[in-house]
Amino acid sequence: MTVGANVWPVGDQEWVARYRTSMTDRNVSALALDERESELAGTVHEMKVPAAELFGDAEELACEDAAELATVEEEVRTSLAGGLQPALKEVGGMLMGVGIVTSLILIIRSGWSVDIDTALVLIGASVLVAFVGWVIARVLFASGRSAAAVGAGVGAGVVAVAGIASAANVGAGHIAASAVPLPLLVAGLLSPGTATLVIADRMPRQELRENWDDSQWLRRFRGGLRARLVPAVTARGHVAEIEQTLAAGGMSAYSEFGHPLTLAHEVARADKSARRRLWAVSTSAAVGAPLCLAVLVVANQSWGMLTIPVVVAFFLMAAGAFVVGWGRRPWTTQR
Amino acid sequence: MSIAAWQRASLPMLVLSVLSVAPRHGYGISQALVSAGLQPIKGAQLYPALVRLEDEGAIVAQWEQSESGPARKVYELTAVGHAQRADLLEQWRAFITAAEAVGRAK
Repeated sequence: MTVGANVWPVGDQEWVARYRTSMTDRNVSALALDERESELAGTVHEMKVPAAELFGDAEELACEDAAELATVEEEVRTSLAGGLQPALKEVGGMLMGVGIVTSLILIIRSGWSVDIDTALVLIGASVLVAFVGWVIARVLFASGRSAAAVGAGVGAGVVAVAGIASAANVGAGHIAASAVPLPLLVAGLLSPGTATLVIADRMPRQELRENWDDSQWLRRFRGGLRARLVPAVTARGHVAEIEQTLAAGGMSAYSEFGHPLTLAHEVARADKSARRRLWAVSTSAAVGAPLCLAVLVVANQSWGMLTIPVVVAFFLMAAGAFVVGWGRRPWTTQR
Repeated sequence: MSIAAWQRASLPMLVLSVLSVAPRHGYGISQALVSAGLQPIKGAQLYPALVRLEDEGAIVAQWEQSESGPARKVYELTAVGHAQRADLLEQWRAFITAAEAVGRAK
């Protein structure tokens, strides 16, 4: 490391900020990124030339560096399968999304104070349970725990249905609280998401688990393959082959093959049918979700006079997702 | 750059070369590389490389019943694999020739 490494000249601050922004969410570990930045800053000090002149466009360099420095380990660590921190971020983001949308609807439809209907609270809580259950089920599925994911999904579904049934039983007109000030209500709606995101942000960096016995490892490897949509027969074949190698070599699965989900990601990426399935599912979800929301908004007229603009925005999101998805279709793009 | 790093970079060529001699199972490929004087390759590197080569059609795999023990998945080179190996070897030789020329120039 050279003198002044990672201490950038004032004139290069904007360039390095763009470089850092472009490197986020690109599966480059913090250590690798720090080393690369030290290298770049050291070169800038040595050459006494502005970074933009020396390295060119920050975003282009970030793209090239990410292609070289990104690792599957980091991809798994920061994905939903990476432990509590990414899961909390996902839950926090979802709570914030629900909180913001509900707050906007209340601001549009109500005055400065709101009467809170018991049935609406029950419906809102049921929807929230369904959303949180969906996120937890996705976390468990991505971690290779398919059975637990199904359990979480079914459990959340049952609670949500029970909540909606209770709301229907209570009926409209039962006021739980009268004349609640809107700012207080909005603060209450946004605080759970904010708190969850702050907690996730302040958590120490989590490392992938290292202690596995072979049967746990194989189970999680198979679950990881299925979570990446590798066909069941193919996944069983991979597990059988790893078992055969372990029996022949007498080593432990973790010492020979590393983290089960990392290997599962690499194997799935090399599997043609898994790539196609993953593309089809992710593109359908990205296009279908905004269209479903648009239908719900139209059906409920929940956005009042903003219904048309909101629906148009959802249609544009769906169209954008389709264009992006089509551009990434696996039968024309390389791995 | 360490030998292990060179080995990682040239792994597809090495695997195809091992299989051009005879079909082998995954652990057998690893053993053949060690017998040739290379460093042991972890399954974490070898296994994804085999899946990629299979996906590209360079190798095919089939399960064979072993005389003692469970069935083993054995890999075999295809015509595509032979062509790919020849291509990779040609590139490797061109690189070595150029690198040696640079070395001699010093």
